[in-house]
Order: sequence, then structure tokens, then C-alpha cells
Amino acid sequence: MSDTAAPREQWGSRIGLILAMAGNAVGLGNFLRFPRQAVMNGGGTFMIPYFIAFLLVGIPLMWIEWGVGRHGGQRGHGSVPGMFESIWNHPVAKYLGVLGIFMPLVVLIYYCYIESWTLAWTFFSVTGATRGLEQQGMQQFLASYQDLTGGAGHAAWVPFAFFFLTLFINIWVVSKGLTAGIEKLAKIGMPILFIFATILVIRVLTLGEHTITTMVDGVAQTVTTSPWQGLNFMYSPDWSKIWDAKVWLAAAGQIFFTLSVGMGSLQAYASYLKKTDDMTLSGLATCATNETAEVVLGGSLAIPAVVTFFGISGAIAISKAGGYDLGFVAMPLVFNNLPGGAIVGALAGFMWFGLLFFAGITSSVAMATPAMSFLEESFGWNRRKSGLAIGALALVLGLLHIIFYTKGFLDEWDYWAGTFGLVILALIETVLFVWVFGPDNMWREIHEGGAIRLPKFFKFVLTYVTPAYLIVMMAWWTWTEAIPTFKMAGIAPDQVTTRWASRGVMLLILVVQLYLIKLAWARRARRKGAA
Amino acid sequence: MSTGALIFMLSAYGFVLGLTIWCFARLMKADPAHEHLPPPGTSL
Repeated sequence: MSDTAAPREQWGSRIGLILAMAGNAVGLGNFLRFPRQAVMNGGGTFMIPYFIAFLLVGIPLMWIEWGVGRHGGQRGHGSVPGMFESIWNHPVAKYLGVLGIFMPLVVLIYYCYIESWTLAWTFFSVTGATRGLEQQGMQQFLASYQDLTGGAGHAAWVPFAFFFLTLFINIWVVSKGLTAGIEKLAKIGMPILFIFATILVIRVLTLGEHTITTMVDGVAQTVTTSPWQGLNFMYSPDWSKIWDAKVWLAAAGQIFFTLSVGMGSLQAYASYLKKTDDMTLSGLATCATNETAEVVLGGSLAIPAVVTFFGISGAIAISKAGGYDLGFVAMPLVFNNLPGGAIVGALAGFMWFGLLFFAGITSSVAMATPAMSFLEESFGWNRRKSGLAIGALALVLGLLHIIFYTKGFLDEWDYWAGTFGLVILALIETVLFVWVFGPDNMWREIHEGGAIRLPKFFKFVLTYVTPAYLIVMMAWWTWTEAIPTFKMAGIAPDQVTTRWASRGVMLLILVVQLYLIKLAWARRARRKGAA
Repeated sequence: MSTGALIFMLSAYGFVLGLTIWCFARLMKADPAHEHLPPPGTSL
């Protein structure tokens, strides 16, 4: 491949770049996954491995991905296959990079479906569809939406309609281009997200004391609760868990998901950087913005609110049920119980689901970018044509997720592409960028145009600690989760066929993408030969 | 809140907010040439 390339689109402003990068990182997990992970992994003590992983894995990977992306972008590559080849001149490199197109595309498709729930619940909050429902009714409302049986307030076709609408908005934004679409969305969406979240945090923390009846050891008891009790519950240190390897892996996993590293989308965004653009400080600012959204806002919302209205035991039960129950069952119940009546409840619901929608869409447009760039640069398609192709594929495959959601179709994609695959790509890119490209080259590349100089300590971290952390994570996850998951351990028999079909579709996408890479390189070789 | 929980919470909030404020303060002080401003003397 040539080391010179035609000029590519560039970010309009540095604040736009950081908001888009942070928008990519801030997602549903900041508000739904983080509080659950903290509660289930030692509360306050969870923050120790969490911040260590942030410093040793999260921030270094952010710099690595910005470095890989800009290095590739300077050579005309907007997706990982070309980026890998530009740092490792080997025929295999581009095929390893398939993960950087495969995973964001696969995650985009099912993530859009989950994102469409937030849009639907924003609508339901305004129309009052969930107003007056008790816990069981709220759970049935969510279940009937997921299993397409329809229910009070929504017909069976409604999930399809919201998915189409969500997908349309995503494709429309990415088709508009980098500055007019993605950057503009980030500049509008991120401030709205932070404003909505801040208003809700203030409202939750000023809820005051409530007297509720809750079950303690199977006996009904009247207890006094408050949001501060929720924060106490979330941050109380459980020192018995500090040396538990599972807690350290859970913390590192959370850092992975929250920063959206190992996906391929950060690299795609970074490919639009100029050679003289700062990465050291901007990358750090992206990480910090995400952490503010996660720890300060995400950590102060759901758990304190749920503890106030359901008590500690209720919060534990809801947390164990999963992030969706926390977001789509417990929080609407909280809003139904807010002082001020229906209007305040509707407004709070609108802001909660609205902020989740903006958190989701600023991430999903980033996931669409690698595949868009690949089609544009490899086959000469324009942005509109690439957007339509990806939209059509996402539409068809998204229908499978909607129809077979209760059969575990989505869970398979979420595990293999949205969880396990992230560590594989992160490890490959770290090895290539740090060890193959060389620690000195890596260090120079990261500092090119840098607004701050990183302490030498981080060169050691990037060279040895981050790869070691990733190897341990991958080995542990393979042994404890990937093998049992592959063998369908604990899966209901009626889901097994659908789950295998789900894996088959994923494999088909991967094989097609490998073939497209082969075609793209052959096409480039022909053009190069003709020139 | 218990003292332990309060210490952990405030430390976490302090770390991320401090880092965020520091980053954006440094970004504002950094070279504005990174923004796509027209060269000096160019009419808008």
C-alpha cells in the first residue's frame, strides 16, 4: 500500500473531536452497567481496581487507538485492516484488522435495537403509557415489548417502528458526513446529555427520607430510606473482595466497555486527525469526560433513586435482574413515585430516557463509521451509498434480533462481538502498535503534535503493563466465560438452535468481510498497476 | 453515610472531576492553531 494518500475529511474543531470521541465512549453502560458492577463487586473497594485499570489499561489503550487511527489515516486508511497494514507490512495484517470492521458493525446492529428502546420509553414517558403501573405491571410492560406480544400502551408493531426510526436517524447522521453529521450530533447531544443527567442527579439527591415497607429476611418491615443511603450502599467498602481476581477482572471489563476501546470506532474517528493534531491531552480529556459521566452522574442516579423507593434489598434484587430492569423497570417506577405528580414524572422520564438515547446514538454513529470508511475508501462508494448499504444490512439483521430476542439471538452477538472480541482486538492492536511498530515509534507517534508530554512511566506501562493486563484478561475470560458460553452452559434447550443460528450469521458476516478485504486489496493492486 | 463510603465516594468524584477540569483547562491554554482558524490577515 502507498504511504501517500488523497486528502481526507477532517474534524472541524478540537472541542467537536473531543465531544465526538467522548460521545462514542459514553453509552448506556455508563448509566446502567457501572452502578450494577460497583454494587455487585465490593462497592467502594471496587473503585480501587477500577481506577487502576483506568490508568493501566483504559487511558493507554485510548492513546494506542488514537495513534493507530491517526497513523493509518495519514496513509489513507479509515478502518483497521489498512491501519494494521500500515504499521505491520505483512499480508496477514489486513486480515487481522477485519475485527475492527466486524465488531463495530455487529454491535451497531443490536445496539440500535436497544437504543430504540430508549427512544420508545422517551415516547412512553410523555404519553404516560407507564404511568400508574406497579412493579409487576412495569416488568410485564417491558417483557411484552421484548417478546412482541403487545400490551397496554403499545402494539406488537411498535418495537419495529422504533427500531426503524432509530436506524434511520443513525444512518442519516453518518451520511451527512464527519463535521455536518457526527460532529454536529456530538455538539448537540453531549451537552443535552450532561444537562439532563445533572438535573436528574440534583432531583434524586434532594428526594429526602422515605418510609417504605420492605422484606428483610422474609419478614415485612417498615424502614426509612434516602438517596444518601443509596450512595452509602454503593460506596461502602467491602474489603473481603479486594483480593478477589473476579473483582479485578470485572473492573477492567467495565473500563473496557465504558471507554469503547477494542472496538474499531475510536481508530476510525482518529483517522480524521491531522498529523499535527494533539492526541496526548485530547485522548486524556476524552477518558476524563467519560469518567465524569460514569462515576459522578451515572453513579449518582439509578442506585440512589432505586434505594430510596425500594430499599437496599429491592435495589439488590433489581441489580441482580440486570441493567435493563434497572433502566426500564425500576427507574420508571421511581418517576411514578416522584413528588409533583404526573407532569414531574413525565418530565423526569423524558430526561432519563432522552439522556440514554443521546448516550446511545453518539456511540452507535461511531460504530457505523469503520464500515462506512471501508466501503468508501476500498470501493470508491460515496457516503450516501455506503450509508444506505449499511442501513439495509442493519435493517434486515436487526429484524432477526427483534424477532428472536427472547431466544438469546442478541445475547450471542453481545458476548462474542461486544464483549470477548474487544479484548482480542485490543490485544492484537497493542502487540502490533507497541511491539511490532516498536516502543520508540509508538511513543513518537503518540507525542506528534501533543499538547502535553506524558511521563516516561507511561512508556513502560504501554510497553509491558497494558499488554500483560490484556493477556491475563483474555486468558481468564477464555477459561471462565468463553469456553462455557461456547458450550452453551446453562442455556435453556429451546434457545440452543437459535443461538447457533445467531453464531452462524455472525460467522457469515466475518467471512464476507474477509472476502471484501481480499477484493479491496486486489482492486487497489490493479489500480496501482494501471497507474 | 458511613465514613468509609464517604471517603471512597469523594475520592472517586474528586479524581474524575479534577482530571476533567485539569484536561479542559490545559486544552483551553493549548495552541489555538489546532482549531481551524484562518491564517492571520485573511478576511472572513
